[in-house]
Amino acid sequence: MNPADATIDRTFEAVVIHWDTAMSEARGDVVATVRRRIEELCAATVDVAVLSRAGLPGLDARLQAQPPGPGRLLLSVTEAGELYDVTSDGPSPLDRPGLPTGASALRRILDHFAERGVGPGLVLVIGDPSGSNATDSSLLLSLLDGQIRRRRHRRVPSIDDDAEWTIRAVGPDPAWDRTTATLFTLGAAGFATKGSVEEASDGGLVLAAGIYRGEGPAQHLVPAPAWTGLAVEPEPAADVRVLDMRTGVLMREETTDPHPFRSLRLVSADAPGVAAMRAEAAAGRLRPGPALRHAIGKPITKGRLDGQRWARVRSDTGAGIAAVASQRNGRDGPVRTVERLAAYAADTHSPPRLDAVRSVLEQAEQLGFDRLLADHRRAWARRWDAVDVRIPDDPEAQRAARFALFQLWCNVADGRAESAVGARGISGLGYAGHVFWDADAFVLPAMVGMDPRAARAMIQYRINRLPAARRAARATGHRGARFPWESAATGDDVTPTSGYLGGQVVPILTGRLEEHVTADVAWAADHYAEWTGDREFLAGRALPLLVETARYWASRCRVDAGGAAHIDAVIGPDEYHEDVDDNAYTNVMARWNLRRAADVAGDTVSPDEIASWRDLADRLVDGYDPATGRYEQFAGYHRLESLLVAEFARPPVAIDVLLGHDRVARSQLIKQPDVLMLHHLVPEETAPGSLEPNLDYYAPRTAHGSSLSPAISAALLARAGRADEALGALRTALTLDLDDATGMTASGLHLATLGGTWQALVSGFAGVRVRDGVLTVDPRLPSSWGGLELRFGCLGRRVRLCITPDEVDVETDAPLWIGLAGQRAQYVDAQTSLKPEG
Amino acid sequence: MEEILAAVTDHDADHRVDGFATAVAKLTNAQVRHLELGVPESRKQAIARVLHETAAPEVVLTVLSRDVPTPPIWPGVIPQVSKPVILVPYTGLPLTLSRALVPLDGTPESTGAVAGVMDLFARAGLDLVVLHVFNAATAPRFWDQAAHARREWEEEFMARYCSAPGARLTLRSGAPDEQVVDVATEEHADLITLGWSQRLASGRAQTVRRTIADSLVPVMLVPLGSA
Repeated sequence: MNPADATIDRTFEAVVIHWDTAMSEARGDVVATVRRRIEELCAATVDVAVLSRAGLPGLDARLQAQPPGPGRLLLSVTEAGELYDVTSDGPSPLDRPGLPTGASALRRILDHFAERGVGPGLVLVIGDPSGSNATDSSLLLSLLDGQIRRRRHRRVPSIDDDAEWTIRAVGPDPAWDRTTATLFTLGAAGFATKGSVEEASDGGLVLAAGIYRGEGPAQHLVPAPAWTGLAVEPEPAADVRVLDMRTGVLMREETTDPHPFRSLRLVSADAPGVAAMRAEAAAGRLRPGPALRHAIGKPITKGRLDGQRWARVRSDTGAGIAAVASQRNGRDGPVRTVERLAAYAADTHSPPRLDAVRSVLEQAEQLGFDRLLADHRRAWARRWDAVDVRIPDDPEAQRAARFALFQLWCNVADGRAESAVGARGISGLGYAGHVFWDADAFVLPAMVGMDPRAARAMIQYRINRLPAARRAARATGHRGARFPWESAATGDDVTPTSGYLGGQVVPILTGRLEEHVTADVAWAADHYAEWTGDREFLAGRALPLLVETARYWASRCRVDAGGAAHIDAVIGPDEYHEDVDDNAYTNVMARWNLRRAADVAGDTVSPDEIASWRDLADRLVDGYDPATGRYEQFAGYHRLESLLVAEFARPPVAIDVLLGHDRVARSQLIKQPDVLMLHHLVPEETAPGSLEPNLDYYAPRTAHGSSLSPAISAALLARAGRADEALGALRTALTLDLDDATGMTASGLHLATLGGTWQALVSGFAGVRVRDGVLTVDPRLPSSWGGLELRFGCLGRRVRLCITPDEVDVETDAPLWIGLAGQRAQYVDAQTSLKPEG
Repeated sequence: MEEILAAVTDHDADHRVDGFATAVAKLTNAQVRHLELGVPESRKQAIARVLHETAAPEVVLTVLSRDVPTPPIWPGVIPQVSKPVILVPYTGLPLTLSRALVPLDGTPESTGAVAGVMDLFARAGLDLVVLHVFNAATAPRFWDQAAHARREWEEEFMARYCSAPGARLTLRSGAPDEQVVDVATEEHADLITLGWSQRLASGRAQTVRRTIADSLVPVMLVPLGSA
């Protein structure tokens, strides 16, 4: 920002000083004052860069700065813009590989700041090299003083309002505010805070992953003490709220008052369990109140300890959540300011000790808000550097895909040992926080490339619930482990037994019959191992998941007189048809489960048992008809009334709500990919060339009445070479929450859809697969996309793919076997271009 | 003081008009203004007089008989008034006013039309039952798990479209015009309140037409934009 238009009612995170125009004529005492200001700014976490055409010795001798950090001081000297990092030891060259040669000095510095999470909108540029804007040392000092004063008075920081990275909401909007609160959820390390406005009656719902209350189907996530509530009177009549996904902060600014209400909050991606907020408004309007408030409708124990507020909720399952918060009020002229820091801890076995949480808070206080924010921004910058999507021809899709990544990180990224990922994550109370196959087949495949530790913690959640799964198998007269359709604290089935299709009361049979989740759990563990290369995990701690699930299927199958094996009475992913026999998805996933367990069991299982698994797998019927290339979804499906969705409504549509359960059950209308889910998860278990005929047959029968459906359909269409159609399905998935297409986003984000969109981009459009230590790419781009760039992790490497219709440029930070589909893989050391043959 | 206009003849049916207008007036702290429709009086003249009286600033609501005179005058009245009109059927059912059925299609327009009335009824202690009918135009796009979806969907629907405290929602699937009267009967509603666009042309206002024709209880029509 140029000082001529700097209103100064704004806090910057970095300052660039064009020394030659601002300070060339300055006296020595003025230079000394500027030096002190620069050092003060660096101490307050601000990065400062000084640009001069002079050489390093002259500039450094004149400035003589010894910044204490944590903010950095950079010197850019000579016409070439050589960069130096200045510490108390003096300047040292800054290694800047990868910068385009010929880039301007300012550009190089802005790029450097961006890598630290400080975008150009957060950089105050004082003076300019042309000298066309008059800047003298007094203006320079005034601007620096202004920034120091704002920090000293804890004014609300600003954001870089870049449309590629932000989601905006103008309010208040009574019809949309609840949805917006969900979309603006911030989270990290297993805690998330809904993006409610500060004066909201719910105080800003806080949830902790895996902390449940209640029993059976009524078991649900426990709201934690809330930390974002403030009283503002009068309440803002008009405001804009901006979720800055690049730096993981939520900003709010009133648009009507001369001293507007502002707030900025974060849930630290760098300091686990820590959250921070600043707010400001005209003195008299802002009444901060207590730093912690009641969780909605739930009793908490609370108190004060050495000036800090603490609160704790205890669950009847033994779990608990504790929070400690501190608050500082201040004044900057007519503006009142509030700074609040909060620390959270949760434990699935007992309420956390307060002293441990206080210790976390005290560490956060020692760092201070500015440092927490700077570290948080850097953590997000590191994330986006490693995992990102760029679609130059489709900025809306790019932004929505980034939103998916952002919320997956907020809801799932978790440094803890186990991670229970409910259908809505921790962004709302919807679906009671219950864990479905959404976690294993939709979210985990995204997380393996985003945050392998988080993916592993999801598998650990299943591993820790093997005892319950074994009990469930025994209870139905089987061996091995049977995982529940809905899981929560203990791993016992918590599926309700009745529900509603619209207004129609229906019995819920999924808990009893939707058994494919058992194979899905095993698949997730194997997929994690394949994608990350963490075979030790699969051969060790995760092995029981494959072995025990295989044992379950072995005892669950019925072998008929002719020797064919069947699985009777199940529900497949298409839940419109209940209590069916030989559902293709269930049978093929069980077959995969048996074979894969046989492959990896080693000497932990007797050879006879392994042989029996392989034999049974070969006997399992799958409904495949070589004459048509199609799988029959279940025994008797082809005899049902042949109806197409288009005869009734335009998909996606909950056609079971529209037509009623019985009518749909008698027809071939299906809810979501069922047979086709096999082509997505285990294509090697399907007949070669069978994707297209099954897609042709089942797609017109698919209502997409499940939010799981559009993203996976996009992936399948892309794999079938129908990329333009795939893009339509992808857009439905990308906007499912952003446009509240379900009418239910207020209750939480659809985590499976978010994970599915990333899968659609990576495995669908880019055609990425990882098998046996080899990354294969097989792109199918829509005609409107000239390129697609993906960054993700796999096999312990960081990978960047730049896909165009003609080639795939690959970059990797360590050697990796990689190839285009149908070509021999290459051992790529750093980068290469892959071109289709011919 | 606000007034409820009761347009009556000396026909027995219009005792019901008077009675229902009085019930509404009591509920809303208004008073009843009677408009005696002469006999004989041309239909055109009667419509003109009702419209004229309804336009009076103190009149907030007009109550008419659905069934008398013959032919009824309401088809000439309801497309032209900017205030709510209640049509009272000439049936044997006793007239009470303790529960109202409010069909909502989930559009801001229809919600806005009846929001004020719903709020008024709720404050007056009336039971409010909101009806939403899923058809091809209004069916939800997604309904993930029947075990959970209803609660989420209902919470948000009510938050967006019905702020009246204590109101409850009932859901149906099918053609709305076939559902309203049946649900009113099932729910023992004393009044049906419909927001409408005031277009009675052929093919339009199907639900309004059918509800008026079949209802056994009074039907309140609230013009869109009258809120």
